[in-house]
Amino acid sequence: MPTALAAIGIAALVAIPIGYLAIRAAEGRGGLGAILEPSFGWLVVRSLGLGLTVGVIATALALGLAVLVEAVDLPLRRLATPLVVMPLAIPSYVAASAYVAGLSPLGPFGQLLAGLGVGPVFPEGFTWSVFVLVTSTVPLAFLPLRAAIARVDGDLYDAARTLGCSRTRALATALRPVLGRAARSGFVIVVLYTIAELGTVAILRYDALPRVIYHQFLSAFDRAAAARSALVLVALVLLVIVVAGGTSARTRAGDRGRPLRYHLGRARFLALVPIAGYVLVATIVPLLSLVAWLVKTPSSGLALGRAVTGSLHAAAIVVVPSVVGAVIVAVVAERGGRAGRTLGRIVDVGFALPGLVVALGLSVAALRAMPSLYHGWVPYVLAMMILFVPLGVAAIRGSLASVPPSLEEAARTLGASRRQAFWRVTLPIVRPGVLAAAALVVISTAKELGASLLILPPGETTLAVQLWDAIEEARYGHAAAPALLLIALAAIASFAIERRGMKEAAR
Amino acid sequence: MAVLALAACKDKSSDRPPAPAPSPTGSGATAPEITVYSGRSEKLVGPILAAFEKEHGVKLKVRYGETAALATLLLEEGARSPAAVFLAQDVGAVGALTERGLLATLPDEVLARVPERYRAEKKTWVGVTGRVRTIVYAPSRTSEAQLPASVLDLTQPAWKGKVGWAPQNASFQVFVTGMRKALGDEATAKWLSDMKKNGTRDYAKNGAIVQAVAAGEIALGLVNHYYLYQFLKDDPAFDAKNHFTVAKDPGSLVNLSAVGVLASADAAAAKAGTQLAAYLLSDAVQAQFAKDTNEYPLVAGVAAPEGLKPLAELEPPAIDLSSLGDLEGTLDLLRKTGVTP
Repeated sequence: MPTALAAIGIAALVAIPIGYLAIRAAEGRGGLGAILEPSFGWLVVRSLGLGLTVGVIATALALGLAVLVEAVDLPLRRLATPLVVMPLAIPSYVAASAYVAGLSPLGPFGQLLAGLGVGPVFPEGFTWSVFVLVTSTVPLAFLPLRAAIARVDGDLYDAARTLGCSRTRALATALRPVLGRAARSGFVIVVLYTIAELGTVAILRYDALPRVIYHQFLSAFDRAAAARSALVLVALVLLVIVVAGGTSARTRAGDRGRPLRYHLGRARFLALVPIAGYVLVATIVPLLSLVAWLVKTPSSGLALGRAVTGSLHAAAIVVVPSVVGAVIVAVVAERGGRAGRTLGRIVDVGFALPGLVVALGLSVAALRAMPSLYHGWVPYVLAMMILFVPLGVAAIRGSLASVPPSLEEAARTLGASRRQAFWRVTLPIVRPGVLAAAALVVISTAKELGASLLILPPGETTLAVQLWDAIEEARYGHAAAPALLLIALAAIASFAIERRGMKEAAR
Repeated sequence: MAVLALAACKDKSSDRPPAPAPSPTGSGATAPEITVYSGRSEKLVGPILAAFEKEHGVKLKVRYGETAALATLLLEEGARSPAAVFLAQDVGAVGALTERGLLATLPDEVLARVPERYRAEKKTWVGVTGRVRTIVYAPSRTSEAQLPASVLDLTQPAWKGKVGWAPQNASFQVFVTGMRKALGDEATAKWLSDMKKNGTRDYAKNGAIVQAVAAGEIALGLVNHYYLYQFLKDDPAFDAKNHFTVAKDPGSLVNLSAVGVLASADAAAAKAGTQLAAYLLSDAVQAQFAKDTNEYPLVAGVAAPEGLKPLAELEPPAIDLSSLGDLEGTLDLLRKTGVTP
């Protein structure tokens, strides 16, 4: 029972920021009704427009890339997937920073353009935001699509061919049944990511909702305005989730024949061009820009020490409550029947909420209920729990599902108490999942920007915050070191997770 | 719930006999601790605050941040704020807090350290340093002859896409408040939207503007005078210079960083806070500001920063600095003209 209560408590955390935002918004000029003002309408149009545009383009590109990687006889096929997925290690605000720094007059590409007689290019506004967000989000849509295509039945293609379909038509016939669902789930993930993202639109100066909320928080003088905008953003996120009917990308793992391989003939080598192009703009250009600035600014490593210790400090404070919370929720969600699964889904909502909104709500809550907490770690830790417990749950649930409840029952018939059975039998088996959850929380803390900017206790910093400060002051050289370190961390993490995934699959 | 519980505890404890008041010697023995909200960066004021702690035996808990954000925080916290002292980048923020009744009056001997026009009419804040709005430019790319006489000229096609400003910055906002006083809301709104139409570029920080000018990203930047010197200290060949617009131009507003003590602070904290304000106005600290940050000292007899015209010889627009508290009006105007979201 105490476990269930704790899990309910964690799920209820999500309600605190949203509830307090509503209270605060209602107090401002015009009350909650002010949300219906036309200026809010424009904000919604801008944010939703950005989200849908990025969603459509990223999903279309991802579909193309997934077909090339999985359904045709591409040369160097084994290398293609890691290359396309690599940008997952580059948070989109890091990519945005890299483009801004690289194209600035003293940056490597700015100087290149000036040499060609082209005036300064300013990466900003809607178009650039779409460009950078698409480059960063293609892998999010690519992964479910590739997985779906990998499950396509090659025999279906052969059957269509024998029935007289053209090769293209036969390919379409084989792909259609699995792609719709995967494309939709990829699209929804991209849209949710895009409308919640603060760093990218702020750095690229596009007035989407998160940038406006941040501005209102800093200097609107009346946080009711920020609270109202934040509620609008929450509504938008929920709307996307409801309309799209969730983001689960599970596809039937039915029997299948041989894998599909469409033979391109000589065009195989041409098919490498789009992949190379994507790798160039999504990975190589940002990395080149950052490395060039790092080399040019020998002192940029100096400030890194503080950012690294700051990130470790913050992570050390956040990791234990988050992982304990994740274990509790995972157990309840996995073993608690229908109610448990519902609870798991409520906790999952936190992952879709923008960090900025969670932090704003918690700051209002702290100022109201316990002002003495405002300047401390409590609101920050709660925000990180709301955002990252779902990540931990996902990591732990997988290994927990592999432990049959009968194992614990056996331990209990041998005289162990329920608690002993859990500690001695179940926990050792799920330990890899718990460690993965801890690693995810540590890296996510270093990477998180929106909430950290608002409620990290005074005097504290993280890699992401250090990068943000340097970009705001246009000290691009000093942005390069934390940016590259963030990329390295994320790359190591995804490599480790991939390895673990392969090991588990081999088991 | 927790607040209710605490309130309930309080009621109960009031039934008991009052606790003995701390003896004056007892409170003197432990160093008092006060919270300072500083809209000025740690790099600039950190060493000065540390020296104050040492000399006066007062412990300071400092929260650094943007002036506007800290002013907003003080408004949200109201009477429950832990802060005793607010160090502001500009007079707009302390003016706005004065209008909401959040600042206490300062003793006359502290106020009298600076000339009358550099302190609040209502005695709620006192200027610490002076800074002048300037236009920063790169001498290698823009000749003196090309420079505009007034900020009002920056809406001309010649400057299209070549000017930078920081609309979220408190110093910029108080400059706009000054322009509203000098030219009226309508003319200011027109200037703002014309600037926006002319492709004026947004920056988050003044320092970024100075860098962008030196790098050739933009030709001119609207900033405070002293940012430039931070860059010149690191690199004497740094390609940027300050240009002062003509006398009485809204672009040559003299603004102040200022200090105020919160009305919500208890007597002991207010006393320590007042000590801090007096310390910032001591001759030695004023001279340090001039030397380290190239800001104008406000106390008579302390020399202006090297190479700068004395403050008394500048000809800013005739604006009463105590009247620049209508930050909300300025923010509304910036929103209406689409300069800020």
